Amino acid sequence: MTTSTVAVLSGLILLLPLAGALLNALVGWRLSRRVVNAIGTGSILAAFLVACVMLAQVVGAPDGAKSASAHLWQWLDLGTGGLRVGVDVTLDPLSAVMLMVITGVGLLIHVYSVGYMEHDRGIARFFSYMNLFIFSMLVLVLAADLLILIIGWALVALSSYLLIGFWYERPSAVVAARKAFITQVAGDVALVIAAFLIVVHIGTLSMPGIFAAAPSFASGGLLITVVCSLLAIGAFAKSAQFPLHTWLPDAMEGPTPVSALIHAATMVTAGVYLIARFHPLFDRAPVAQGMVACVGIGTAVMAGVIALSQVDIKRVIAYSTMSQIGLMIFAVGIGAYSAGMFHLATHAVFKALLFMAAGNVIHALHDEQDIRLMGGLSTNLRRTELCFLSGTFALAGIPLFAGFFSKEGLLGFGLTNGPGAFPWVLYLVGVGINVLTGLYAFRLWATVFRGEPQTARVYAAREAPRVMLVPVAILALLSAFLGLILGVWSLVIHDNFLIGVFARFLSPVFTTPASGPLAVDLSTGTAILAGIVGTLGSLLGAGLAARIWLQRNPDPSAVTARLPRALPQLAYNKFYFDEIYDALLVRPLVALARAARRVVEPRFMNSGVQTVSDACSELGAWVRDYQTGLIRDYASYMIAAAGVFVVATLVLVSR
Amino acid sequence: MTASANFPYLLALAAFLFSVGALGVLIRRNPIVVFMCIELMLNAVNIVFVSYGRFLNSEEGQVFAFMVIVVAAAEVVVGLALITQVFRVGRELDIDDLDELNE
Repeated sequence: MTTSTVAVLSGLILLLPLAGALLNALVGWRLSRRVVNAIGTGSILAAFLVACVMLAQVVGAPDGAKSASAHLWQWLDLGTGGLRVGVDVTLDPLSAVMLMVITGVGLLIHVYSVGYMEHDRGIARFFSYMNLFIFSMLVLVLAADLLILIIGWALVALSSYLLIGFWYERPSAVVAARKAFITQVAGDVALVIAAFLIVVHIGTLSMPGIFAAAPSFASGGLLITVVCSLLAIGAFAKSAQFPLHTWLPDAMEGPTPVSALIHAATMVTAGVYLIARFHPLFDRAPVAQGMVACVGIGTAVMAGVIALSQVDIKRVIAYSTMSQIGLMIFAVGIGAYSAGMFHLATHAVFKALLFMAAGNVIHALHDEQDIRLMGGLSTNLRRTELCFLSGTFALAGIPLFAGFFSKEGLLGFGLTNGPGAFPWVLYLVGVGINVLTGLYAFRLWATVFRGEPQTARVYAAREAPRVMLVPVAILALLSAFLGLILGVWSLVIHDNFLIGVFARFLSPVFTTPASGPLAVDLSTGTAILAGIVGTLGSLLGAGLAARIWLQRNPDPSAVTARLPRALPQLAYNKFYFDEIYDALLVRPLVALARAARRVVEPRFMNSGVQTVSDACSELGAWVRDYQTGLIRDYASYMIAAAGVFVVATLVLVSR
Repeated sequence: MTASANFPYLLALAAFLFSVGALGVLIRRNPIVVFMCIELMLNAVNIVFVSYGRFLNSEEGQVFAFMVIVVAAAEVVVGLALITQVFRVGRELDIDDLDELNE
């Protein structure tokens, strides 16, 4: 794997989606729908092929040379000793995994969009934004310089904003887009401050340089803790973790393919990638790691509870996404980077699948999203249901489906390597999350597809066209067999059954002793016990859900009715986070602005501004007298001025 | 007579023509006459250019004179078009009446 190969391949994979975005943006409006579709999906297909080549390069590289960087061009150079920023790219196992997820899942979602957006007039705009998003995401994961990474980080927020607000004639979509953007910018600010601190301390933003200089931070010291906390806050904003999580459910205002691509598979997992990528720093900041782990698992519990109480099909999946990302954040917080990345990859597959299958349902019911009005869809949407079920099994962590391997892998790691004195506390919470996941996953499936139709519209539902079914089916196969294939492969090479191959592939990246792929062997007795208990938790949740909701007329709020009224109320209203933020941030700011308008502006600002504007109008009134409209007057001014000029020249020359 | 001997007379002629033109612009009311006066001024400048070119033994004066002629031709086209349009609207051709642009 030579530097020039990496440079050429990265250049290709970056330019292809960008070219697609520009082409559709500039001339898409005059092209036919078929051509627009071809440009939109074709550019991603080409990028996917390039990504496959890049993966092959990484796999084929000899051990010890799995990582290569290339310097595309120098962007900023402040001389010797000053800051130098190059547009550099890194290809290593970690970025290769992300490339495959982004372009692979991205390609299927693009194909799906062809069908989903069939009747939308803004198809060129849609594909242009989608390609822009893929480009931004690739910049983010390929960047070998923190500044370039931040550029990608901000660009994905921009494309997310554009796509959430894609149907801009809906006020709710516009508000949701703005909310997502502002929340993410709060995270960007934290990230930029972290970058400042790193520059001040190390003097470079180049990521290999930062990691090489990581030992210069005092381990556990204040500076590294602050830097890592700021990086983590950036990750929380992007990955919708507490307390910056409120934008994700609202982001469901965007078209469903957008939810599948950005708000399930790729962008929201960028926070996990960031922490995994900066593991040399996090390994030296145990306090920040503990904070990350606690926030992750806390968000996972909270979002799981909310998911149980919601009745909008997309919002249920959105909260489930938030919960699963919480698990990934927990994993990277306890140093289980490979396990976190594995869950990221499998989650991208089965969550994109769930969103697209939900999209089929919404499409078939003409934009109905309330699960109380569905039920009994399995007769008409047989194929979609099969795919949805595969995703549900994977999400709930039913053994041998993809989610089982990744989730049990990271929970088992948590029990043996968790933070603090009582790692088993967080592990037990993790088992609780397994139960919750099983509950809400099967609740969704049962209320949507099983039981009796709750509205007449269900009878008229038609199965989605092939262009929307095939991508979903491919993902369904993957979520059913991906984990199993890797698991069997792991057994063949005598490694850990759950995440052996994957961890081994990523091991060149996570080489430092503390963050080795598996610092404690997962095949020990404790870990096996942990896996069995966790699996039993998942099965318990699934079984309970089947008992409660597999009925002719399931009541989506069956569980909550038995609890004290306050609890379901809290969960249904998402623990009132929106209201709290409204009261704490929005209202005081609005009040401040009002006060400024009523008091500060008329008293203090206007007097000065008024003087200037009065002076200007007086000057204007005076000059206006000379604008008579008579050519004769103007000619006289000109000739008089020429005369003055001549006299002045004569005087000056004769001196 | 050599060119240099004629030089002061040529400059005087140019100055005279320019003054006549400027005066015409200022006091005549018929736009066409004003226009011709402007041409007179331009040509006075042309005489200066050409005579200086002669005096300094360089072609640049003539080049500039040609430039002025070209620009003057273009200006005539625009100006005459404007005048005809004003005439078509049914106005009398008196430039003192055309003062709508003063507000």
